[in-house]
Amino acid sequence: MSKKRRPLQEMAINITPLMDVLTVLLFFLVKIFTISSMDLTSFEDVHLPTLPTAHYPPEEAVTLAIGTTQIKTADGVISQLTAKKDVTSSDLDEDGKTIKALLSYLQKQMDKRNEIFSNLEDKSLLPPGKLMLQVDKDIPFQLIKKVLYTAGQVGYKEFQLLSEKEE
Amino acid sequence: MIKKKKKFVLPESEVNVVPLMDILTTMLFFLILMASTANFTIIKGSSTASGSSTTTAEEKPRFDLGILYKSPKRIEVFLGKTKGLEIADEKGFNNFRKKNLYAFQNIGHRKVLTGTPETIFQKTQELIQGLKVYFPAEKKVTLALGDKIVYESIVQLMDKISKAQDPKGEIELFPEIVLQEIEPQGDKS
Repeated sequence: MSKKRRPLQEMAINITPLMDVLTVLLFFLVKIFTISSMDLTSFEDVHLPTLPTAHYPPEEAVTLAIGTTQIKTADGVISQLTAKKDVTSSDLDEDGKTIKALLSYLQKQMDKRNEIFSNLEDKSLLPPGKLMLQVDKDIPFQLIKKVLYTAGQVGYKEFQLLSEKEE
Repeated sequence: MIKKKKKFVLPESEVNVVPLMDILTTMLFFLILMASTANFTIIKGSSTASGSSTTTAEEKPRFDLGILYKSPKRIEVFLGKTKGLEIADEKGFNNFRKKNLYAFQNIGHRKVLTGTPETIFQKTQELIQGLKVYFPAEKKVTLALGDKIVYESIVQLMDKISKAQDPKGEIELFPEIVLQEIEPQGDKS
């Protein structure tokens, strides 16, 4: 009598646990991932200070990075800094406070914003422009005040000073 | 011959999970790549250099608290005249004022704090916290900075001025901070 060979059983992978894990991971990542159109690029020569407590999360704003050697925007390098971490006198306007290239860049950004709200007759109803500053921790206020002054000429009156939160 | 009718059995419905798996896996990889581990925070401020004025044309008395940070080891705290302002517990404030502040010229009161950068920030916060008890509704403070003060110190001082930690939780101090430069002449020192 020949023995009947048992047919090989079909292998079935149980994917239910895998589905569970993937779904949980997905919800976790969606929760921690903030979908924002704002791009927080980290710059090589910008070492942010750390703070022990959190204040506010970064908001949508025009971003400016002040590193140890350059001032940068989304369009590229605005100005080179001297060894004393300040702008050169040739980059300044006659008043000695306004950074010419920065003024031009911020004016363009403000014009873009105003274009979006071109239907609004009274532009003063718009909230003031916001500027986010990513500044290296060793940059002196001597340079920062020039940036603030320049931004103020264009209408940027609210500032977000970026830091890292201590872990 | 009697034919037995086979009972009609509905076929087992099958859900095809393959496309769902594809989407979930793709989303998972996308989110892992996009999730940032850096934890950023911002401190909000405004600036008189930007044209936002701290002075108003109103004649009514206003709360005027200023902090002068010219050198890393010295902070001066100024409180303008308080006559006409809403003070919680006026008697307590007078005692606080006598213990902690000194009358300065004719513009109000002042306190000079000295020490290392770590201790000086803590002392400033304690003084500010003491003032907040008597002016709970006030939120604005002016921070005048010297040219040599670095960004790290600015942000750390702003952190101390805007809020404090307490066993009960977080206390809001003066979160509306107006930055300005120290004027070369006529600064309050």
